[in-house]
Amino acid sequence: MKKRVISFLLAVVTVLGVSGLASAVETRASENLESYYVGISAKGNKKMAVSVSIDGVGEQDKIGIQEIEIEHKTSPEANWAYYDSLYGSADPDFYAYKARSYENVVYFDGVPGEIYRVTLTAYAKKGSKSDTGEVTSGSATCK
Amino acid sequence: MTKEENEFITKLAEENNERLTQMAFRYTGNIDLAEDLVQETFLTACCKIATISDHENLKGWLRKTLWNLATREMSKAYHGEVPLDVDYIEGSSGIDLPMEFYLPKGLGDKEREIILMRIDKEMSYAEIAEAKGMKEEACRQQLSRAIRRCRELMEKAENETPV
Amino acid sequence: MIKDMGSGKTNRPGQNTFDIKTLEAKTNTELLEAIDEMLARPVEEVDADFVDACLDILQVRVPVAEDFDPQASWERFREEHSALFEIEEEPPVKVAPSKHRRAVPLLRYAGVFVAAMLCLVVTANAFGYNPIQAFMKWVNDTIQIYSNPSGMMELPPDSPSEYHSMREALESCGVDSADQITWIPEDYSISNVRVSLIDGITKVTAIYEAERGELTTRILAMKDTEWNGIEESDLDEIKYEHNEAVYYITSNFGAMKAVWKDEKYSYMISGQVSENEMRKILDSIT
Repeated sequence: MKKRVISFLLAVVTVLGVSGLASAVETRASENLESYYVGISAKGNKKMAVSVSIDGVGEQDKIGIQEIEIEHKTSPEANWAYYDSLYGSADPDFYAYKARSYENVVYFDGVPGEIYRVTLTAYAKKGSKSDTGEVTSGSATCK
Repeated sequence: MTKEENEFITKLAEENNERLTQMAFRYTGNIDLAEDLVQETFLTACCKIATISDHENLKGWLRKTLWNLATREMSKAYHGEVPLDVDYIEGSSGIDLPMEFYLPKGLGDKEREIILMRIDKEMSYAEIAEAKGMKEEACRQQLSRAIRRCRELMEKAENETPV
Repeated sequence: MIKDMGSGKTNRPGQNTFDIKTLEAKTNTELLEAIDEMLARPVEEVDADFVDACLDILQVRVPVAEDFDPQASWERFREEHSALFEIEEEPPVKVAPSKHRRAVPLLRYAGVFVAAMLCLVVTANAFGYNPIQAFMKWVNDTIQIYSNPSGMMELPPDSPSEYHSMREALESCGVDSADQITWIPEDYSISNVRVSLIDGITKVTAIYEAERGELTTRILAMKDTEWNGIEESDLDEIKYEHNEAVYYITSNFGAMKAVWKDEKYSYMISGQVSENEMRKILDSIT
Protein backbone atom coordinates (compact mmCIF):
# COMPACT_ATOMS: atom_id res chain seq x y z
CA MET A 1 0.00 0.00 0.00
CA LYS A 2 2.76 2.42 0.98
CA LYS A 3 4.66 1.82 -2.25
CA ARG A 4 1.48 2.22 -4.31
CA VAL A 5 0.81 5.54 -2.61
CA ILE A 6 4.39 6.69 -3.14
CA SER A 7 4.15 5.76 -6.82
CA PHE A 8 1.03 7.89 -7.21
CA LEU A 9 2.53 10.84 -5.40
CA LEU A 10 5.76 10.50 -7.38
CA ALA A 11 3.77 10.58 -10.58
CA VAL A 12 2.01 13.73 -9.42
CA VAL A 13 5.28 15.41 -8.43
CA THR A 14 7.07 14.38 -11.65
CA VAL A 15 4.42 15.95 -13.84
CA LEU A 16 4.52 19.02 -11.61
CA GLY A 17 8.26 19.28 -12.12
CA VAL A 18 8.22 18.84 -15.87
CA SER A 19 5.21 20.73 -17.04
CA GLY A 20 4.39 23.03 -14.16
CA LEU A 21 0.98 23.81 -12.87
CA ALA A 22 -1.74 23.30 -15.40
CA SER A 23 -3.73 26.37 -16.29
CA ALA A 24 -7.42 26.39 -15.57
CA VAL A 25 -9.20 24.08 -17.95
CA GLU A 26 -12.76 25.11 -17.45
CA THR A 27 -12.81 28.33 -19.48
CA ARG A 28 -14.84 28.05 -22.62
CA ALA A 29 -13.13 30.71 -24.71
CA SER A 30 -9.50 31.53 -25.28
CA GLU A 31 -7.70 34.76 -25.91
CA ASN A 32 -4.72 32.90 -27.35
CA LEU A 33 -5.96 29.68 -28.94
CA GLU A 34 -8.38 29.66 -31.88
CA SER A 35 -8.44 25.92 -32.57
CA TYR A 36 -6.39 22.77 -32.17
CA TYR A 37 -6.58 19.40 -33.88
CA VAL A 38 -4.81 16.11 -33.28
CA GLY A 39 -4.87 12.92 -35.28
CA ILE A 40 -3.18 9.51 -35.09
CA SER A 41 -2.37 7.01 -37.81
CA ALA A 42 -0.33 3.81 -38.15
CA LYS A 43 2.48 4.09 -40.64
CA GLY A 44 3.65 0.50 -40.54
CA ASN A 45 6.88 -0.96 -39.21
CA LYS A 46 5.70 -0.13 -35.65
CA LYS A 47 5.70 3.57 -36.42
CA MET A 48 2.76 5.71 -35.27
CA ALA A 49 2.27 9.27 -36.53
CA VAL A 50 0.64 12.05 -34.48
CA SER A 51 -0.57 14.96 -36.64
CA VAL A 52 -1.00 18.30 -34.92
CA SER A 53 -2.55 21.55 -36.13
CA ILE A 54 -2.86 24.55 -33.79
CA ASP A 55 -4.18 28.01 -34.71
CA GLY A 56 -3.67 31.04 -32.52
CA VAL A 57 -5.86 34.13 -32.20
CA GLY A 58 -3.67 36.26 -34.44
CA GLU A 59 0.10 36.07 -34.16
CA GLN A 60 1.41 34.51 -30.95
CA ASP A 61 4.84 34.93 -29.40
CA LYS A 62 5.02 31.17 -28.85
CA ILE A 63 2.64 28.46 -30.09
CA GLY A 64 2.84 24.70 -30.22
CA ILE A 65 2.76 21.43 -28.32
CA GLN A 66 3.11 21.47 -24.55
CA GLU A 67 2.51 17.74 -24.20
CA ILE A 68 1.34 14.70 -26.12
CA GLU A 69 0.12 11.98 -23.81
CA ILE A 70 -0.08 8.52 -25.38
CA GLU A 71 -2.45 5.83 -24.17
CA HIS A 72 -2.75 2.27 -25.37
CA LYS A 73 -4.81 -0.85 -24.94
CA THR A 74 -4.25 -4.42 -25.95
CA SER A 75 -7.75 -5.06 -27.30
CA PRO A 76 -10.91 -3.08 -28.09
CA GLU A 77 -12.53 -4.34 -24.88
CA ALA A 78 -9.62 -3.45 -22.61
CA ASN A 79 -9.34 -0.18 -20.68
CA TRP A 80 -7.04 2.58 -21.82
CA ALA A 81 -3.72 2.69 -20.00
CA TYR A 82 -0.96 5.27 -19.94
CA TYR A 83 1.90 4.53 -22.36
CA ASP A 84 4.19 7.54 -22.70
CA SER A 85 4.37 11.32 -22.84
CA LEU A 86 6.21 13.65 -25.19
CA TYR A 87 7.00 17.09 -23.77
CA GLY A 88 7.52 20.40 -25.49
CA SER A 89 10.17 21.30 -22.94
CA ALA A 90 12.31 18.44 -24.29
CA ASP A 91 11.97 19.12 -28.02
CA PRO A 92 12.58 22.51 -29.64
CA ASP A 93 10.56 21.48 -32.70
CA PHE A 94 7.43 21.40 -30.60
CA TYR A 95 7.06 25.18 -30.73
CA ALA A 96 6.97 27.98 -33.30
CA TYR A 97 7.74 31.57 -32.38
CA LYS A 98 6.10 34.76 -33.62
CA ALA A 99 3.65 32.65 -35.57
CA ARG A 100 -0.09 32.43 -36.16
CA SER A 101 -0.21 28.67 -36.34
CA TYR A 102 1.73 25.48 -35.81
CA GLU A 103 1.60 22.22 -37.72
CA ASN A 104 3.72 19.15 -37.22
CA VAL A 105 3.76 15.38 -37.37
CA VAL A 106 5.44 13.58 -34.47
CA TYR A 107 6.31 9.90 -34.50
CA PHE A 108 6.61 7.24 -31.85
CA ASP A 109 7.09 3.46 -31.87
CA GLY A 110 4.25 1.27 -30.77
CA VAL A 111 3.64 -2.44 -30.39
CA PRO A 112 2.00 -4.04 -33.44
CA GLY A 113 -1.56 -5.09 -32.72
CA GLU A 114 -2.03 -2.63 -29.86
CA ILE A 115 -4.45 0.28 -30.12
CA TYR A 116 -3.28 3.85 -29.44
CA ARG A 117 -4.79 7.28 -28.90
CA VAL A 118 -3.18 10.58 -27.98
CA THR A 119 -4.19 13.66 -26.02
CA LEU A 120 -2.67 16.90 -27.21
CA THR A 121 -2.09 19.81 -24.85
CA ALA A 122 -1.85 22.83 -27.14
CA TYR A 123 -0.12 25.99 -25.91
CA ALA A 124 -0.05 29.60 -27.06
CA LYS A 125 1.40 32.71 -25.46
CA LYS A 126 1.31 36.39 -26.34
CA GLY A 127 2.84 38.93 -24.04
CA SER A 128 2.08 37.89 -20.50
CA LYS A 129 -1.02 35.90 -21.40
CA SER A 130 -0.91 32.23 -22.26
CA ASP A 131 -3.40 29.44 -22.55
CA THR A 132 -3.56 25.68 -23.01
CA GLY A 133 -6.21 23.38 -24.36
CA GLU A 134 -6.58 19.61 -24.56
CA VAL A 135 -8.07 17.39 -27.25
CA THR A 136 -7.96 13.61 -27.69
CA SER A 137 -7.63 11.86 -31.04
CA GLY A 138 -9.52 8.87 -32.30
CA SER A 139 -7.73 5.52 -32.02
CA ALA A 140 -5.51 3.60 -34.43
CA THR A 141 -3.99 0.13 -34.35
CA CYS A 142 -0.25 -0.18 -34.66
CA LYS A 143 0.94 -2.38 -37.53
CA MET B 1 -40.38 42.06 -18.68
CA THR B 2 -43.97 42.66 -17.59
CA LYS B 3 -45.13 42.02 -14.04
CA GLU B 4 -46.90 38.83 -15.14
CA GLU B 5 -43.82 37.54 -16.93
CA ASN B 6 -41.73 38.35 -13.87
CA GLU B 7 -44.04 36.34 -11.64
CA PHE B 8 -44.16 33.53 -14.19
CA ILE B 9 -40.40 33.13 -14.40
CA THR B 10 -39.95 33.43 -10.63
CA LYS B 11 -42.48 30.67 -10.03
CA LEU B 12 -40.78 28.53 -12.69
CA ALA B 13 -37.49 28.93 -10.87
CA GLU B 14 -38.98 28.15 -7.45
CA GLU B 15 -40.49 24.93 -8.76
CA ASN B 16 -37.52 23.71 -10.77
CA ASN B 17 -34.23 25.28 -9.65
CA GLU B 18 -33.25 22.66 -7.07
CA ARG B 19 -34.01 19.61 -9.19
CA LEU B 20 -32.39 21.09 -12.30
CA THR B 21 -29.24 21.84 -10.31
CA GLN B 22 -29.11 18.28 -9.03
CA MET B 23 -29.47 17.04 -12.61
CA ALA B 24 -26.74 19.38 -13.85
CA PHE B 25 -24.43 18.25 -11.06
CA ARG B 26 -24.81 14.62 -12.09
CA TYR B 27 -23.60 15.60 -15.56
CA THR B 28 -20.75 17.88 -14.56
CA GLY B 29 -19.62 16.83 -11.07
CA ASN B 30 -19.09 20.49 -10.19
CA ILE B 31 -21.60 22.60 -8.27
CA ASP B 32 -20.45 25.96 -9.70
CA LEU B 33 -20.64 24.69 -13.26
CA ALA B 34 -24.00 23.08 -12.52
CA GLU B 35 -25.35 26.39 -11.20
CA ASP B 36 -24.00 28.22 -14.27
CA LEU B 37 -25.75 25.82 -16.62
CA VAL B 38 -29.06 26.09 -14.76
CA GLN B 39 -28.83 29.88 -14.80
CA GLU B 40 -28.11 29.76 -18.52
CA THR B 41 -31.27 27.67 -18.90
CA PHE B 42 -33.34 30.26 -17.06
CA LEU B 43 -31.70 33.04 -19.05
CA THR B 44 -32.83 31.29 -22.23
CA ALA B 45 -36.31 31.03 -20.72
CA CYS B 46 -36.33 34.77 -19.97
CA CYS B 47 -35.26 35.61 -23.51
CA LYS B 48 -37.92 33.33 -24.99
CA ILE B 49 -40.61 34.06 -22.44
CA ALA B 50 -43.15 35.10 -25.01
CA THR B 51 -42.97 31.71 -26.74
CA ILE B 52 -42.57 29.43 -23.73
CA SER B 53 -45.17 30.95 -21.45
CA ASP B 54 -47.88 28.86 -23.08
CA HIS B 55 -45.65 25.93 -24.08
CA GLU B 56 -47.54 22.64 -23.94
CA ASN B 57 -44.59 20.87 -22.26
CA LEU B 58 -42.75 23.58 -20.37
CA LYS B 59 -41.18 21.25 -17.80
CA GLY B 60 -39.93 19.05 -20.62
CA TRP B 61 -38.56 22.11 -22.43
CA LEU B 62 -36.65 23.20 -19.31
CA ARG B 63 -35.08 19.81 -18.76
CA LYS B 64 -34.21 19.31 -22.41
CA THR B 65 -32.65 22.78 -22.65
CA LEU B 66 -30.50 22.09 -19.59
CA TRP B 67 -29.56 18.65 -20.93
CA ASN B 68 -28.48 20.20 -24.26
CA LEU B 69 -26.31 22.72 -22.42
CA ALA B 70 -24.80 20.10 -20.10
CA THR B 71 -23.98 17.57 -22.81
CA ARG B 72 -22.53 20.29 -25.02
CA GLU B 73 -20.44 21.51 -22.09
CA MET B 74 -19.14 18.02 -21.40
CA SER B 75 -18.27 17.38 -25.03
CA LYS B 76 -16.34 20.66 -25.14
CA ALA B 77 -14.67 20.14 -21.77
CA TYR B 78 -10.95 19.60 -21.82
CA HIS B 79 -9.68 16.21 -20.91
CA GLY B 80 -7.22 17.91 -18.59
CA GLU B 81 -4.62 15.77 -17.00
CA VAL B 82 -5.70 12.24 -17.69
CA PRO B 83 -4.94 10.63 -14.37
CA LEU B 84 -1.83 8.54 -14.77
CA ASP B 85 -2.39 4.92 -14.06
CA VAL B 86 -0.15 4.02 -11.21
CA ASP B 87 2.68 1.59 -11.83
CA TYR B 88 2.44 -0.68 -8.87
CA ILE B 89 5.66 -1.90 -7.42
CA GLU B 90 5.59 -5.57 -6.62
CA GLY B 91 6.04 -6.54 -3.01
CA SER B 92 5.87 -4.33 0.04
CA SER B 93 7.69 -3.84 3.27
CA GLY B 94 7.34 -1.79 6.36
CA ILE B 95 4.19 -0.55 8.03
CA ASP B 96 1.39 0.47 5.71
CA LEU B 97 -0.44 3.67 6.51
CA PRO B 98 -3.81 4.44 4.96
CA MET B 99 -3.47 6.39 1.70
CA GLU B 100 -5.42 9.22 3.24
CA PHE B 101 -2.39 9.90 5.40
CA TYR B 102 -0.36 10.87 2.36
CA LEU B 103 -2.87 13.21 0.72
CA PRO B 104 -2.14 16.88 1.33
CA LYS B 105 -4.18 18.91 3.81
CA GLY B 106 -6.54 21.33 2.15
CA LEU B 107 -8.19 18.81 -0.16
CA GLY B 108 -11.98 18.88 0.09
CA ASP B 109 -13.97 15.84 1.18
CA LYS B 110 -15.25 15.13 -2.32
CA GLU B 111 -11.73 15.52 -3.74
CA ARG B 112 -10.31 13.05 -1.22
CA GLU B 113 -13.17 10.67 -1.78
CA ILE B 114 -12.74 10.40 -5.52
CA ILE B 115 -8.94 10.11 -5.35
CA LEU B 116 -9.28 7.29 -2.82
CA MET B 117 -11.92 5.55 -4.93
CA ARG B 118 -9.74 5.62 -8.03
CA ILE B 119 -6.23 5.21 -6.65
CA ASP B 120 -6.73 3.36 -3.38
CA LYS B 121 -9.77 1.20 -4.07
CA GLU B 122 -8.82 0.89 -7.78
CA MET B 123 -12.39 1.42 -8.89
CA SER B 124 -13.06 1.89 -12.60
CA TYR B 125 -14.75 5.08 -13.79
CA ALA B 126 -17.91 3.08 -14.48
CA GLU B 127 -17.91 1.84 -10.87
CA ILE B 128 -17.26 5.33 -9.52
CA ALA B 129 -20.07 6.75 -11.68
CA GLU B 130 -22.46 4.11 -10.37
CA ALA B 131 -21.44 4.72 -6.76
CA LYS B 132 -21.74 8.50 -7.04
CA GLY B 133 -24.85 8.53 -9.27
CA MET B 134 -23.05 10.71 -11.83
CA LYS B 135 -22.14 10.45 -15.49
CA GLU B 136 -18.78 8.74 -16.13
CA GLU B 137 -17.42 11.82 -17.88
CA ALA B 138 -18.34 13.94 -14.86
CA CYS B 139 -16.33 11.55 -12.67
CA ARG B 140 -13.29 11.86 -14.94
CA GLN B 141 -13.54 15.64 -14.75
CA GLN B 142 -13.97 15.57 -10.99
CA LEU B 143 -10.92 13.31 -10.54
CA SER B 144 -8.87 15.44 -12.91
CA ARG B 145 -9.76 18.56 -10.90
CA ALA B 146 -8.99 16.76 -7.61
CA ILE B 147 -5.56 15.67 -8.83
CA ARG B 148 -4.83 19.18 -10.09
CA ARG B 149 -5.78 20.54 -6.65
CA CYS B 150 -3.54 17.91 -5.08
CA ARG B 151 -0.63 19.12 -7.21
CA GLU B 152 -1.26 22.75 -6.35
CA LEU B 153 -1.26 21.95 -2.63
CA MET B 154 1.87 19.81 -2.89
CA GLU B 155 3.78 22.46 -4.81
CA LYS B 156 2.67 25.11 -2.33
CA ALA B 157 3.88 22.90 0.54
CA GLU B 158 7.17 22.33 -1.29
CA ASN B 159 7.72 26.06 -1.77
CA GLU B 160 6.91 26.79 1.86
CA THR B 161 9.20 24.07 3.25
CA PRO B 162 12.21 25.81 4.76
CA VAL B 163 15.52 24.80 3.13
CA MET C 1 -52.66 13.59 -14.36
CA ILE C 2 -54.16 10.40 -13.03
CA LYS C 3 -52.02 8.37 -10.66
CA ASP C 4 -52.88 4.77 -9.96
CA MET C 5 -51.72 4.43 -6.32
CA GLY C 6 -51.92 0.65 -6.42
CA SER C 7 -49.57 -0.13 -9.27
CA GLY C 8 -47.38 2.97 -9.01
CA LYS C 9 -48.09 3.76 -12.66
CA THR C 10 -48.38 7.34 -13.76
CA ASN C 11 -50.57 8.30 -16.65
CA ARG C 12 -50.69 11.60 -18.42
CA PRO C 13 -52.75 12.05 -21.54
CA GLY C 14 -50.40 12.07 -24.51
CA GLN C 15 -47.38 11.16 -22.34
CA ASN C 16 -45.51 7.89 -21.83
CA THR C 17 -46.38 5.67 -18.90
CA PHE C 18 -43.76 4.49 -16.48
CA ASP C 19 -43.69 2.20 -13.48
CA ILE C 20 -41.96 3.56 -10.39
CA LYS C 21 -41.07 0.08 -9.19
CA THR C 22 -39.33 -0.65 -12.50
CA LEU C 23 -37.32 2.54 -12.14
CA GLU C 24 -36.40 1.70 -8.56
CA ALA C 25 -34.98 -1.63 -9.73
CA LYS C 26 -32.55 0.12 -12.08
CA THR C 27 -28.97 0.86 -11.12
CA ASN C 28 -27.79 4.45 -10.90
CA THR C 29 -26.05 4.20 -14.26
CA GLU C 30 -29.20 2.76 -15.86
CA LEU C 31 -31.25 5.64 -14.45
CA LEU C 32 -28.86 8.20 -15.92
CA GLU C 33 -28.97 6.41 -19.27
CA ALA C 34 -32.78 6.42 -19.12
CA ILE C 35 -32.70 10.18 -18.51
CA ASP C 36 -30.37 10.62 -21.50
CA GLU C 37 -32.63 8.55 -23.70
CA MET C 38 -35.72 10.52 -22.67
CA LEU C 39 -34.11 13.94 -23.12
CA ALA C 40 -32.68 13.01 -26.53
CA ARG C 41 -36.28 12.89 -27.84
CA PRO C 42 -37.99 15.93 -29.41
CA VAL C 43 -39.29 18.24 -26.70
CA GLU C 44 -42.94 17.39 -27.33
CA GLU C 45 -42.18 13.73 -26.53
CA VAL C 46 -40.20 14.40 -23.34
CA ASP C 47 -41.89 13.07 -20.21
CA ALA C 48 -40.67 15.46 -17.53
CA ASP C 49 -42.28 13.41 -14.76
CA PHE C 50 -40.23 10.40 -15.85
CA VAL C 51 -37.04 12.45 -15.71
CA ASP C 52 -37.98 13.82 -12.29
CA ALA C 53 -38.82 10.36 -10.98
CA CYS C 54 -35.35 9.12 -12.02
CA LEU C 55 -33.69 12.15 -10.44
CA ASP C 56 -35.65 11.71 -7.21
CA ILE C 57 -34.61 8.06 -6.91
CA LEU C 58 -30.97 9.03 -7.51
CA GLN C 59 -31.22 11.79 -4.95
CA VAL C 60 -32.45 9.36 -2.29
CA ARG C 61 -29.68 6.88 -3.06
CA VAL C 62 -26.80 9.28 -3.69
CA PRO C 63 -27.65 12.80 -2.62
CA VAL C 64 -25.82 15.58 -4.50
CA ALA C 65 -25.70 19.36 -4.22
CA GLU C 66 -27.00 19.15 -0.66
CA ASP C 67 -25.49 22.50 0.28
CA PHE C 68 -27.05 24.22 -2.72
CA ASP C 69 -29.36 27.09 -1.73
CA PRO C 70 -31.85 27.61 -4.59
CA GLN C 71 -33.17 30.86 -3.11
CA ALA C 72 -29.71 32.40 -2.86
CA SER C 73 -28.87 31.17 -6.36
CA TRP C 74 -32.00 32.81 -7.78
CA GLU C 75 -31.17 36.06 -6.00
CA ARG C 76 -27.72 35.99 -7.60
CA PHE C 77 -29.30 35.39 -10.99
CA ARG C 78 -31.70 38.30 -10.58
CA GLU C 79 -28.88 40.59 -9.50
CA GLU C 80 -26.70 39.62 -12.43
CA HIS C 81 -29.54 40.12 -14.91
CA SER C 82 -31.39 42.93 -13.15
CA ALA C 83 -32.12 44.68 -16.45
CA LEU C 84 -34.19 41.71 -17.55
CA PHE C 85 -36.39 41.91 -14.49
CA GLU C 86 -37.22 45.61 -14.68
CA ILE C 87 -40.97 45.87 -14.83
CA GLU C 88 -42.04 47.37 -18.14
CA GLU C 89 -45.00 49.70 -18.00
CA GLU C 90 -47.86 48.25 -19.97
CA PRO C 91 -48.31 50.43 -23.03
CA PRO C 92 -51.64 52.25 -22.85
CA VAL C 93 -54.23 50.41 -24.78
CA LYS C 94 -55.08 52.47 -27.80
CA VAL C 95 -58.69 52.44 -28.67
CA ALA C 96 -58.91 52.44 -32.44
CA PRO C 97 -61.50 54.96 -33.52
CA SER C 98 -64.37 53.61 -35.51
CA LYS C 99 -63.86 53.41 -39.24
CA HIS C 100 -66.25 56.24 -39.87
CA ARG C 101 -64.45 58.54 -37.46
CA ARG C 102 -61.04 57.59 -38.94
CA ALA C 103 -62.01 58.24 -42.55
CA VAL C 104 -63.20 61.83 -42.09
CA PRO C 105 -59.99 63.31 -40.53
CA LEU C 106 -57.84 61.41 -43.03
CA LEU C 107 -59.64 62.87 -45.98
CA ARG C 108 -59.47 66.32 -44.46
CA TYR C 109 -55.68 66.07 -43.90
CA ALA C 110 -55.10 64.72 -47.40
CA GLY C 111 -56.99 67.59 -48.86
CA VAL C 112 -55.00 70.15 -46.91
CA PHE C 113 -51.73 68.51 -47.98
CA VAL C 114 -52.60 68.52 -51.69
CA ALA C 115 -53.68 72.14 -51.51
CA ALA C 116 -50.43 73.12 -49.78
CA MET C 117 -48.28 71.26 -52.36
CA LEU C 118 -50.15 72.93 -55.21
CA CYS C 119 -49.54 76.35 -53.71
CA LEU C 120 -45.89 75.52 -53.27
CA VAL C 121 -45.43 74.38 -56.86
CA VAL C 122 -47.25 77.34 -58.31
CA THR C 123 -45.30 79.78 -56.13
CA ALA C 124 -41.96 78.13 -56.90
CA ASN C 125 -42.68 78.15 -60.63
CA ALA C 126 -43.47 81.83 -60.40
CA PHE C 127 -39.93 82.33 -59.13
CA GLY C 128 -38.43 80.18 -61.91
CA TYR C 129 -37.83 77.09 -59.79
CA ASN C 130 -39.36 73.70 -60.59
CA PRO C 131 -39.71 71.77 -57.31
CA ILE C 132 -40.89 68.60 -59.00
CA GLN C 133 -37.79 68.39 -61.15
CA ALA C 134 -35.63 69.09 -58.10
CA PHE C 135 -37.29 66.26 -56.20
CA MET C 136 -36.63 63.77 -59.01
CA LYS C 137 -32.99 64.79 -59.10
CA TRP C 138 -32.73 64.28 -55.36
CA VAL C 139 -34.19 60.81 -55.75
CA ASN C 140 -31.63 59.91 -58.38
CA ASP C 141 -28.75 61.36 -56.39
CA THR C 142 -29.74 60.04 -53.01
CA ILE C 143 -31.24 56.62 -53.51
CA GLN C 144 -28.53 54.12 -54.49
CA ILE C 145 -29.33 50.71 -55.79
CA TYR C 146 -27.89 48.12 -53.36
CA SER C 147 -25.36 46.00 -55.22
CA ASN C 148 -23.50 44.26 -52.36
CA PRO C 149 -20.03 44.06 -53.84
CA SER C 150 -17.44 41.74 -52.29
CA GLY C 151 -14.15 42.73 -50.78
CA MET C 152 -10.95 41.86 -52.61
CA MET C 153 -10.30 38.12 -52.57
CA GLU C 154 -7.35 37.96 -54.95
CA LEU C 155 -3.90 39.54 -54.71
CA PRO C 156 -2.65 41.45 -57.75
CA PRO C 157 -0.73 39.30 -60.27
CA ASP C 158 2.51 41.14 -59.53
CA SER C 159 2.27 40.37 -55.80
CA PRO C 160 5.35 38.46 -54.57
CA SER C 161 3.13 36.03 -52.63
CA GLU C 162 3.36 32.39 -53.73
CA TYR C 163 -0.45 32.12 -53.81
CA HIS C 164 -2.72 34.95 -54.86
CA SER C 165 -6.00 33.57 -53.63
CA MET C 166 -7.49 30.77 -51.58
CA ARG C 167 -8.70 29.16 -54.80
CA GLU C 168 -5.22 29.09 -56.31
CA ALA C 169 -3.74 27.66 -53.11
CA LEU C 170 -6.36 24.91 -52.94
CA GLU C 171 -5.82 23.97 -56.58
CA SER C 172 -2.08 23.72 -56.06
CA CYS C 173 -2.64 21.27 -53.18
CA GLY C 174 -4.97 19.15 -55.26
CA VAL C 175 -7.87 20.22 -53.04
CA ASP C 176 -10.50 21.00 -55.61
CA SER C 177 -13.56 19.61 -53.88
CA ALA C 178 -13.45 21.85 -50.80
CA ASP C 179 -16.08 24.50 -50.03
CA GLN C 180 -14.96 27.95 -51.16
CA ILE C 181 -16.37 31.32 -50.14
CA THR C 182 -16.97 33.81 -52.93
CA TRP C 183 -17.95 36.90 -50.94
CA ILE C 184 -16.44 38.85 -48.04
CA PRO C 185 -17.49 42.26 -46.68
CA GLU C 186 -16.52 45.07 -49.01
CA ASP C 187 -14.00 46.69 -46.72
CA TYR C 188 -11.82 43.58 -46.48
CA SER C 189 -8.86 42.81 -48.78
CA ILE C 190 -6.78 39.69 -48.96
CA SER C 191 -3.33 40.09 -47.42
CA ASN C 192 -1.88 36.58 -47.16
CA VAL C 193 -2.44 33.00 -48.24
CA ARG C 194 -0.53 30.23 -46.52
CA VAL C 195 -0.30 26.53 -47.33
CA SER C 196 1.02 23.86 -44.98
CA LEU C 197 1.63 20.34 -46.31
CA ILE C 198 3.22 17.94 -43.85
CA ASP C 199 2.90 14.18 -44.15
CA GLY C 200 -0.85 13.93 -44.42
CA ILE C 201 -1.78 17.38 -43.06
CA THR C 202 -3.17 19.81 -45.64
CA LYS C 203 -3.94 23.26 -44.28
CA VAL C 204 -4.75 26.34 -46.34
CA THR C 205 -5.27 29.66 -44.55
CA ALA C 206 -6.18 33.06 -46.03
CA ILE C 207 -6.08 36.31 -44.08
CA TYR C 208 -8.08 39.36 -45.09
CA GLU C 209 -7.58 42.77 -43.52
CA ALA C 210 -9.72 45.85 -42.97
CA GLU C 211 -9.59 48.88 -40.72
CA ARG C 212 -11.88 47.15 -38.26
CA GLY C 213 -9.65 44.07 -37.99
CA GLU C 214 -8.87 40.72 -39.60
CA LEU C 215 -10.84 37.91 -41.17
CA THR C 216 -9.31 34.43 -41.40
CA THR C 217 -10.52 31.46 -43.40
CA ARG C 218 -9.01 28.03 -42.91
CA ILE C 219 -9.44 24.61 -44.48
CA LEU C 220 -7.84 21.62 -42.77
CA ALA C 221 -7.55 17.96 -43.70
CA MET C 222 -5.65 15.14 -42.01
CA LYS C 223 -5.52 12.33 -44.54
CA ASP C 224 -5.90 8.70 -43.41
CA THR C 225 -5.89 9.85 -39.80
CA GLU C 226 -8.26 9.43 -36.86
CA TRP C 227 -8.51 13.03 -35.79
CA ASN C 228 -10.47 15.29 -33.47
CA GLY C 229 -10.42 19.01 -32.92
CA ILE C 230 -11.55 21.79 -30.66
CA GLU C 231 -12.73 25.20 -31.91
CA GLU C 232 -12.62 27.72 -29.08
CA SER C 233 -15.83 29.63 -28.62
CA ASP C 234 -17.52 31.64 -25.94
CA LEU C 235 -21.11 31.42 -27.12
CA ASP C 236 -23.55 28.64 -27.74
CA GLU C 237 -23.48 27.80 -31.41
CA ILE C 238 -26.26 28.90 -33.70
CA LYS C 239 -27.04 26.24 -36.27
CA TYR C 240 -27.38 27.81 -39.71
CA GLU C 241 -28.57 25.77 -42.66
CA HIS C 242 -28.17 26.84 -46.26
CA ASN C 243 -28.19 24.88 -49.51
CA GLU C 244 -28.38 21.59 -47.62
CA ALA C 245 -25.24 22.38 -45.64
CA VAL C 246 -25.13 22.91 -41.87
CA TYR C 247 -22.90 25.58 -40.37
CA TYR C 248 -22.36 26.56 -36.74
CA ILE C 249 -22.02 30.26 -35.96
CA THR C 250 -20.46 31.27 -32.67
CA SER C 251 -17.79 33.69 -31.44
CA ASN C 252 -14.46 33.69 -29.63
CA PHE C 253 -13.45 36.72 -27.61
CA GLY C 254 -15.31 39.24 -29.70
CA ALA C 255 -14.58 37.70 -33.10
CA MET C 256 -17.48 36.11 -34.97
CA LYS C 257 -16.77 32.53 -35.97
CA ALA C 258 -18.30 29.88 -38.20
CA VAL C 259 -17.23 26.24 -38.24
CA TRP C 260 -18.36 23.22 -40.21
CA LYS C 261 -17.01 20.03 -41.67
CA ASP C 262 -17.65 17.58 -44.45
CA GLU C 263 -16.28 14.11 -45.16
CA LYS C 264 -12.79 15.33 -45.92
CA TYR C 265 -12.26 18.77 -44.45
CA SER C 266 -12.74 20.93 -41.39
CA TYR C 267 -13.53 24.60 -42.09
CA MET C 268 -13.31 27.75 -40.03
CA ILE C 269 -14.01 31.42 -40.66
CA SER C 270 -13.18 33.84 -37.88
CA GLY C 271 -12.93 37.62 -37.69
CA GLN C 272 -14.35 41.04 -37.06
CA VAL C 273 -17.65 40.72 -38.91
CA SER C 274 -21.25 40.86 -37.77
CA GLU C 275 -23.45 37.80 -37.58
CA ASN C 276 -25.34 38.98 -40.67
CA GLU C 277 -22.12 39.39 -42.60
CA MET C 278 -21.05 35.92 -41.51
CA ARG C 279 -24.32 34.50 -42.87
CA LYS C 280 -23.71 36.28 -46.18
CA ILE C 281 -20.21 34.82 -46.34
CA LEU C 282 -21.65 31.35 -45.76
CA ASP C 283 -24.39 31.96 -48.34
CA SER C 284 -21.69 32.66 -50.93
CA ILE C 285 -20.11 29.20 -50.59
CA THR C 286 -19.84 27.20 -53.79
